[in-house]
Amino acid sequence: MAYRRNGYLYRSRRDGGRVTTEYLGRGPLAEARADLDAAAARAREERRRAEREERARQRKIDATIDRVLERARLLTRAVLLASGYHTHKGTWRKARDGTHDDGDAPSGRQD
Amino acid sequence: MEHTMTVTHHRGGRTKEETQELYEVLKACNTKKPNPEKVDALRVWLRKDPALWREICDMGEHAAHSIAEYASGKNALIAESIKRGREVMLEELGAGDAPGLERILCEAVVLAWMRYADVERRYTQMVGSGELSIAQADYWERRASAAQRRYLRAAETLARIRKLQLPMVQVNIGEQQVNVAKGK
Repeated sequence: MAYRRNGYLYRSRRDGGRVTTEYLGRGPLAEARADLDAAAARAREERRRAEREERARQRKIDATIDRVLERARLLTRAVLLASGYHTHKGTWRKARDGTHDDGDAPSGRQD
Repeated sequence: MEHTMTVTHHRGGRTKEETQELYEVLKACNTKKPNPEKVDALRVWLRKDPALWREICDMGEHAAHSIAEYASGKNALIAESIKRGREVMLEELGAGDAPGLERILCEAVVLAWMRYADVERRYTQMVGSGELSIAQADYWERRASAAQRRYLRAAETLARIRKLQLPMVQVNIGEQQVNVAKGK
């Protein structure tokens, strides 16, 4: 973005890790370049704002889905446990007669 | 084994304390020889709060509609197409005839798939536009990976529950009976 110092226009530019000051001069041409710079800066800011909003929407949708899936997992877990299953090393197993694991219990990762 | 649960009210949502209490009960039940009192407590919880089944379905449907509205860019025709696609997918998964838990898991699979499809579509569009910075590409890549994981996990859970063929559990919400797991 251009700025005025002692009636002359300058602009700062980031070049790699360095910030350098560029002299634009004065007069209609310098003013026009400063206006173009300002318009470009506004456009960049608008893009950044749109991106922030988009990301916020994405987060909101993901959070809603995660809430549904988490509750579904919770319910699955509750039903499995109420049905006599338990997890063993990350897999669901059913106790035979409520006393010990059966060897051929359906396996699968814990939910 | 068959359990019947009857309630006459619909409660919308639980407090953090209640959810924490449920986690504690689940944790206590998750042993080789669970304390029968704890298992009873779990059944009491299921009996006390069966509205959770319907709540999840409602939340799932609401989320699916949000995705449809968002993905369609407020184009009513596209939004309706997406919603119809969801219904077809639910039919294909057999959600209509499935017991309650399976039906919820079908909803979860379809919801996760809708999200995954939407993220992939957006990502592909952005790559095609050629205006994607490295940081943005990284962001969308991570979104797509997360959506894919979510979808695969939901599908795995549904497949596992179908393989287990859980014994019948009935929940009666008002006059309506809901079977939450089918018998062997």
